[in-house]
Amino acid sequence: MIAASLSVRPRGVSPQRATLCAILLTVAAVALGGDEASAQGCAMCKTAIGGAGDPLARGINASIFFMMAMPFVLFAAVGSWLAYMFWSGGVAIDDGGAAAVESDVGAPSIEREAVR
Amino acid sequence: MSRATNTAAVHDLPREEPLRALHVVPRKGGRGGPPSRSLKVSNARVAVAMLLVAETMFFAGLIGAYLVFRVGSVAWPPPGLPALPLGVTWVNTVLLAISGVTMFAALRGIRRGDEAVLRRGLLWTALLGGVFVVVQGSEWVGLVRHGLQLSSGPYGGTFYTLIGMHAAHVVGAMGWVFFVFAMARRRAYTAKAHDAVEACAIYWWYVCVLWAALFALVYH
Repeated sequence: MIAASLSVRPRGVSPQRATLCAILLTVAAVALGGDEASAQGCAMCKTAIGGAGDPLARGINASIFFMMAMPFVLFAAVGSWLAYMFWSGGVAIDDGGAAAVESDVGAPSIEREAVR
Repeated sequence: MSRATNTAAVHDLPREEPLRALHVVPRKGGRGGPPSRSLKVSNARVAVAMLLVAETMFFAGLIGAYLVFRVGSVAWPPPGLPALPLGVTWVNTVLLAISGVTMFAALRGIRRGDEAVLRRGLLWTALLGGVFVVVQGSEWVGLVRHGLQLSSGPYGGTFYTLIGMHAAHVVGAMGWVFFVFAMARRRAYTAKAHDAVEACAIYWWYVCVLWAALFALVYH
Protein backbone atom coordinates (compact mmCIF):
# COMPACT_ATOMS: atom_id res chain seq x y z
CA MET A 1 0.00 0.00 0.00
CA ILE A 2 2.83 2.34 0.94
CA ALA A 3 4.70 1.52 -2.24
CA ALA A 4 1.57 2.10 -4.28
CA SER A 5 0.97 5.47 -2.62
CA LEU A 6 4.53 6.53 -3.21
CA SER A 7 4.43 5.53 -6.85
CA VAL A 8 1.32 7.63 -7.56
CA ARG A 9 2.12 10.67 -5.39
CA PRO A 10 1.20 13.95 -7.04
CA ARG A 11 3.80 16.44 -8.07
CA GLY A 12 5.07 18.69 -5.33
CA VAL A 13 4.47 16.19 -2.52
CA SER A 14 7.71 15.14 -0.88
CA PRO A 15 8.43 11.41 -0.45
CA GLN A 16 8.50 11.85 3.34
CA ARG A 17 5.04 13.38 3.40
CA ALA A 18 3.73 10.74 1.00
CA THR A 19 5.15 8.00 3.24
CA LEU A 20 3.58 9.56 6.33
CA CYS A 21 0.20 9.83 4.62
CA ALA A 22 0.43 6.23 3.43
CA ILE A 23 1.23 5.01 6.95
CA LEU A 24 -1.63 7.00 8.45
CA LEU A 25 -4.03 5.67 5.81
CA THR A 26 -2.91 2.11 6.50
CA VAL A 27 -3.33 2.50 10.26
CA ALA A 28 -6.76 4.05 9.76
CA ALA A 29 -7.82 1.26 7.41
CA VAL A 30 -6.70 -1.42 9.89
CA ALA A 31 -8.26 0.36 12.87
CA LEU A 32 -11.61 1.11 11.29
CA GLY A 33 -12.04 -1.72 8.83
CA GLY A 34 -11.58 -4.72 11.12
CA ASP A 35 -14.32 -6.94 12.46
CA GLU A 36 -15.54 -6.63 16.00
CA ALA A 37 -13.14 -8.24 18.49
CA SER A 38 -14.29 -9.34 21.91
CA ALA A 39 -11.98 -8.68 24.85
CA GLN A 40 -12.10 -12.11 26.45
CA GLY A 41 -9.58 -14.77 27.25
CA CYS A 42 -9.18 -17.57 24.78
CA ALA A 43 -11.58 -20.46 25.12
CA MET A 44 -8.89 -22.98 26.02
CA CYS A 45 -7.54 -20.90 28.91
CA LYS A 46 -11.03 -20.21 30.18
CA THR A 47 -11.85 -23.90 30.17
CA ALA A 48 -8.59 -25.01 31.74
CA ILE A 49 -8.54 -22.53 34.62
CA GLY A 50 -10.94 -23.29 37.42
CA GLY A 51 -11.17 -19.79 38.87
CA ALA A 52 -9.25 -17.06 40.64
CA GLY A 53 -8.00 -19.44 43.37
CA ASP A 54 -6.72 -22.03 40.94
CA PRO A 55 -2.90 -22.42 41.17
CA LEU A 56 -2.76 -22.73 37.40
CA ALA A 57 -4.40 -19.30 37.12
CA ARG A 58 -1.64 -17.86 39.32
CA GLY A 59 0.96 -19.49 37.13
CA ILE A 60 -0.56 -18.21 33.91
CA ASN A 61 -0.91 -14.73 35.37
CA ALA A 62 2.74 -14.70 36.47
CA SER A 63 3.78 -15.85 33.03
CA ILE A 64 1.65 -13.23 31.30
CA PHE A 65 3.08 -10.43 33.42
CA PHE A 66 6.61 -11.64 32.83
CA MET A 67 6.15 -11.94 29.08
CA MET A 68 4.38 -8.60 28.94
CA ALA A 69 7.22 -6.86 30.79
CA MET A 70 10.04 -8.21 28.63
CA PRO A 71 9.59 -5.94 25.56
CA PHE A 72 9.49 -2.91 27.85
CA VAL A 73 12.61 -4.08 29.66
CA LEU A 74 14.40 -4.62 26.37
CA PHE A 75 13.26 -1.29 24.98
CA ALA A 76 14.47 0.46 28.14
CA ALA A 77 17.78 -1.42 28.08
CA VAL A 78 18.55 -0.64 24.43
CA GLY A 79 17.35 2.94 24.84
CA SER A 80 19.52 3.42 27.91
CA TRP A 81 22.49 1.99 26.08
CA LEU A 82 22.00 4.34 23.13
CA ALA A 83 21.52 7.28 25.52
CA TYR A 84 24.69 6.29 27.36
CA MET A 85 26.59 6.09 24.08
CA PHE A 86 25.23 9.47 23.04
CA TRP A 87 26.06 11.28 26.26
CA SER A 88 29.36 9.54 26.98
CA GLY A 89 31.08 10.76 23.84
CA GLY A 90 30.31 8.20 21.14
CA VAL A 91 29.10 10.96 18.84
CA ALA A 92 30.22 12.82 15.80
CA ILE A 93 29.98 16.60 15.79
CA ASP A 94 28.91 18.05 12.48
CA ASP A 95 29.95 21.67 12.35
CA GLY A 96 30.28 21.86 8.62
CA GLY A 97 33.65 20.20 8.47
CA ALA A 98 35.53 22.47 10.87
CA ALA A 99 35.96 19.85 13.58
CA ALA A 100 37.11 16.27 13.28
CA VAL A 101 35.00 13.27 14.15
CA GLU A 102 35.33 12.62 17.87
CA SER A 103 34.67 8.94 18.22
CA ASP A 104 37.24 6.18 17.94
CA VAL A 105 34.87 4.03 15.93
CA GLY A 106 36.34 5.33 12.69
CA ALA A 107 35.09 8.24 10.65
CA PRO A 108 33.09 6.99 7.72
CA SER A 109 34.13 8.47 4.45
CA ILE A 110 30.53 8.66 3.29
CA GLU A 111 29.72 11.13 6.05
CA ARG A 112 32.62 13.34 5.14
CA GLU A 113 31.43 13.26 1.56
CA ALA A 114 27.97 14.32 2.67
CA VAL A 115 29.31 17.12 4.82
CA ARG A 116 31.05 18.77 1.90
CA MET B 1 27.23 19.23 -5.98
CA SER B 2 28.34 17.14 -8.93
CA ARG B 3 29.71 13.67 -8.47
CA ALA B 4 33.12 14.64 -9.84
CA THR B 5 33.46 17.53 -7.39
CA ASN B 6 32.33 15.28 -4.57
CA THR B 7 34.92 12.65 -5.39
CA ALA B 8 37.65 15.23 -5.60
CA ALA B 9 36.65 16.64 -2.22
CA VAL B 10 36.81 13.21 -0.65
CA HIS B 11 40.24 12.56 -2.13
CA ASP B 12 41.52 15.68 -0.37
CA LEU B 13 40.74 14.14 2.98
CA PRO B 14 43.14 11.88 4.87
CA ARG B 15 42.53 8.16 4.36
CA GLU B 16 39.94 6.76 6.74
CA GLU B 17 38.83 3.26 7.57
CA PRO B 18 35.90 1.90 5.55
CA LEU B 19 32.36 2.65 6.65
CA ARG B 20 31.51 0.62 9.74
CA ALA B 21 29.39 2.92 11.86
CA LEU B 22 25.69 3.50 12.06
CA HIS B 23 24.34 7.02 12.39
CA VAL B 24 21.21 6.63 14.43
CA VAL B 25 20.31 10.31 14.77
CA PRO B 26 20.02 12.18 11.48
CA ARG B 27 22.27 15.18 11.14
CA LYS B 28 21.18 18.69 10.34
CA GLY B 29 23.09 21.69 9.24
CA GLY B 30 26.28 21.46 7.24
CA ARG B 31 28.79 24.12 6.41
CA GLY B 32 27.76 27.31 8.13
CA GLY B 33 24.86 25.67 9.99
CA PRO B 34 24.65 25.07 13.72
CA PRO B 35 26.66 22.09 15.01
CA SER B 36 24.65 18.91 15.36
CA ARG B 37 25.47 15.61 17.08
CA SER B 38 24.96 12.18 15.60
CA LEU B 39 25.23 8.95 17.57
CA LYS B 40 27.88 6.58 16.32
CA VAL B 41 27.68 2.90 17.16
CA SER B 42 29.72 0.27 15.35
CA ASN B 43 27.76 -2.11 13.15
CA ALA B 44 29.11 -5.08 15.11
CA ARG B 45 27.64 -3.74 18.33
CA VAL B 46 24.29 -3.05 16.71
CA ALA B 47 24.25 -6.58 15.28
CA VAL B 48 25.05 -8.12 18.65
CA ALA B 49 22.41 -5.95 20.34
CA MET B 50 19.80 -7.21 17.87
CA LEU B 51 20.92 -10.79 18.41
CA LEU B 52 20.70 -10.39 22.18
CA VAL B 53 17.23 -8.85 21.99
CA ALA B 54 16.07 -11.85 19.94
CA GLU B 55 17.76 -14.28 22.34
CA THR B 56 16.19 -12.55 25.32
CA MET B 57 12.71 -12.90 23.86
CA PHE B 58 13.41 -16.54 23.06
CA PHE B 59 14.42 -17.29 26.64
CA ALA B 60 11.57 -15.12 27.93
CA GLY B 61 9.19 -17.49 26.15
CA LEU B 62 10.82 -20.52 27.76
CA ILE B 63 10.83 -18.86 31.19
CA GLY B 64 7.20 -17.89 30.71
CA ALA B 65 6.32 -21.55 30.13
CA TYR B 66 8.39 -22.52 33.17
CA LEU B 67 6.57 -19.97 35.33
CA VAL B 68 3.18 -21.36 34.33
CA PHE B 69 4.14 -24.77 35.70
CA ARG B 70 6.24 -23.68 38.65
CA VAL B 71 3.91 -21.02 40.07
CA GLY B 72 0.89 -23.06 39.08
CA SER B 73 1.94 -26.25 40.86
CA VAL B 74 1.23 -27.06 44.50
CA ALA B 75 4.54 -28.89 45.12
CA TRP B 76 7.81 -28.14 43.32
CA PRO B 77 9.61 -30.43 42.72
CA PRO B 78 6.69 -32.82 42.41
CA PRO B 79 6.69 -35.78 44.82
CA GLY B 80 8.89 -38.66 43.70
CA LEU B 81 11.24 -36.55 41.60
CA PRO B 82 14.74 -35.52 42.76
CA ALA B 83 15.64 -32.00 43.79
CA LEU B 84 18.25 -30.26 41.67
CA PRO B 85 21.86 -30.42 42.95
CA LEU B 86 22.67 -27.00 44.35
CA GLY B 87 26.27 -27.36 45.56
CA VAL B 88 27.91 -28.48 42.33
CA THR B 89 25.85 -25.95 40.38
CA TRP B 90 27.12 -23.16 42.63
CA VAL B 91 30.67 -24.21 41.77
CA ASN B 92 29.73 -24.30 38.10
CA THR B 93 28.25 -20.81 38.37
CA VAL B 94 31.47 -19.50 39.88
CA LEU B 95 33.43 -21.08 37.02
CA LEU B 96 31.25 -19.34 34.46
CA ALA B 97 31.62 -16.04 36.31
CA ILE B 98 35.41 -16.45 36.22
CA SER B 99 35.19 -17.09 32.48
CA GLY B 100 33.49 -13.70 32.19
CA VAL B 101 36.48 -12.16 33.95
CA THR B 102 38.97 -13.92 31.65
CA MET B 103 37.01 -12.66 28.66
CA PHE B 104 37.25 -9.16 30.08
CA ALA B 105 41.01 -9.62 30.48
CA ALA B 106 41.24 -10.73 26.84
CA LEU B 107 39.32 -7.69 25.64
CA ARG B 108 41.39 -5.35 27.79
CA GLY B 109 44.52 -6.97 26.39
CA ILE B 110 43.64 -6.28 22.76
CA ARG B 111 42.52 -2.77 23.66
CA ARG B 112 46.10 -2.22 24.81
CA GLY B 113 47.38 -3.97 21.70
CA ASP B 114 48.63 -7.03 23.61
CA GLU B 115 47.74 -9.99 21.40
CA ALA B 116 49.29 -12.56 23.73
CA VAL B 117 46.93 -11.51 26.54
CA LEU B 118 44.03 -11.68 24.09
CA ARG B 119 44.86 -15.23 23.03
CA ARG B 120 45.49 -16.38 26.58
CA GLY B 121 42.23 -14.83 27.80
CA LEU B 122 40.25 -16.41 24.98
CA LEU B 123 41.73 -19.83 25.68
CA TRP B 124 40.92 -19.63 29.38
CA THR B 125 37.41 -18.47 28.58
CA ALA B 126 36.79 -21.38 26.24
CA LEU B 127 38.35 -23.80 28.71
CA LEU B 128 36.15 -22.63 31.59
CA GLY B 129 33.10 -22.73 29.32
CA GLY B 130 34.00 -26.32 28.40
CA VAL B 131 34.33 -27.28 32.05
CA PHE B 132 30.95 -25.70 32.71
CA VAL B 133 29.31 -27.77 29.98
CA VAL B 134 31.01 -30.98 31.11
CA VAL B 135 29.96 -30.49 34.74
CA GLN B 136 26.45 -29.69 33.53
CA GLY B 137 26.44 -32.92 31.52
CA SER B 138 27.58 -35.00 34.47
CA GLU B 139 24.88 -33.39 36.57
CA TRP B 140 22.30 -34.38 33.98
CA VAL B 141 23.54 -37.96 33.97
CA GLY B 142 23.03 -38.10 37.74
CA LEU B 143 19.54 -36.62 37.45
CA VAL B 144 18.54 -39.10 34.75
CA ARG B 145 19.78 -41.95 36.98
CA HIS B 146 17.60 -40.59 39.77
CA GLY B 147 14.57 -40.68 37.52
CA LEU B 148 14.33 -37.12 36.23
CA GLN B 149 13.82 -37.35 32.50
CA LEU B 150 12.47 -35.17 29.75
CA SER B 151 9.24 -37.10 29.96
CA SER B 152 8.91 -36.66 33.74
CA GLY B 153 6.12 -34.15 33.43
CA PRO B 154 6.49 -30.36 33.42
CA TYR B 155 9.28 -30.49 36.03
CA GLY B 156 11.66 -32.52 33.87
CA GLY B 157 10.46 -31.04 30.60
CA THR B 158 10.95 -27.41 31.54
CA PHE B 159 14.23 -28.09 33.35
CA TYR B 160 15.90 -29.90 30.46
CA THR B 161 14.53 -27.46 27.88
CA LEU B 162 15.62 -24.31 29.70
CA ILE B 163 18.98 -25.49 30.96
CA GLY B 164 19.65 -27.46 27.79
CA MET B 165 19.05 -24.42 25.60
CA HIS B 166 21.42 -22.43 27.76
CA ALA B 167 24.04 -25.17 27.50
CA ALA B 168 23.60 -25.12 23.71
CA HIS B 169 24.22 -21.38 23.78
CA VAL B 170 27.37 -21.87 25.83
CA VAL B 171 28.61 -24.40 23.26
CA GLY B 172 27.79 -21.93 20.46
CA ALA B 173 29.57 -19.15 22.30
CA MET B 174 32.59 -21.42 22.75
CA GLY B 175 32.65 -21.95 19.00
CA TRP B 176 32.61 -18.20 18.54
CA VAL B 177 35.46 -17.81 21.03
CA PHE B 178 37.50 -20.44 19.18
CA PHE B 179 36.87 -18.65 15.89
CA VAL B 180 38.05 -15.35 17.37
CA PHE B 181 41.05 -17.18 18.83
CA ALA B 182 41.92 -18.59 15.40
CA MET B 183 41.64 -15.12 13.89
CA ALA B 184 43.75 -13.71 16.71
CA ARG B 185 46.48 -16.22 15.89
CA ARG B 186 46.49 -14.79 12.38
CA ARG B 187 46.98 -11.36 13.92
CA ALA B 188 43.63 -10.13 12.64
CA TYR B 189 43.01 -7.73 15.52
CA THR B 190 44.73 -4.58 16.61
CA ALA B 191 44.25 -2.13 19.43
CA LYS B 192 42.09 0.04 17.15
CA ALA B 193 40.29 -2.64 15.12
CA HIS B 194 38.84 -5.42 17.26
CA ASP B 195 35.08 -5.18 16.78
CA ALA B 196 34.81 -8.96 16.41
CA VAL B 197 36.43 -9.49 19.82
CA GLU B 198 34.03 -7.00 21.39
CA ALA B 199 31.04 -8.69 19.80
CA CYS B 200 32.20 -12.08 21.04
CA ALA B 201 32.84 -10.72 24.53
CA ILE B 202 29.39 -9.13 24.74
CA TYR B 203 27.77 -12.41 23.73
CA TRP B 204 29.82 -14.36 26.25
CA TRP B 205 28.87 -11.98 29.06
CA TYR B 206 25.26 -12.28 28.01
CA VAL B 207 25.45 -16.07 28.34
CA CYS B 208 26.99 -15.64 31.82
CA VAL B 209 24.33 -13.19 32.99
CA LEU B 210 21.62 -15.37 31.52
CA TRP B 211 22.95 -18.32 33.50
CA ALA B 212 22.83 -16.30 36.71
CA ALA B 213 19.16 -15.53 36.05
CA LEU B 214 18.35 -19.17 35.18
CA PHE B 215 20.25 -20.47 38.18
CA ALA B 216 18.34 -18.18 40.53
CA LEU B 217 15.03 -19.09 38.91
CA VAL B 218 15.32 -22.82 38.31
CA TYR B 219 17.57 -24.08 41.08
CA HIS B 220 16.04 -22.20 44.01
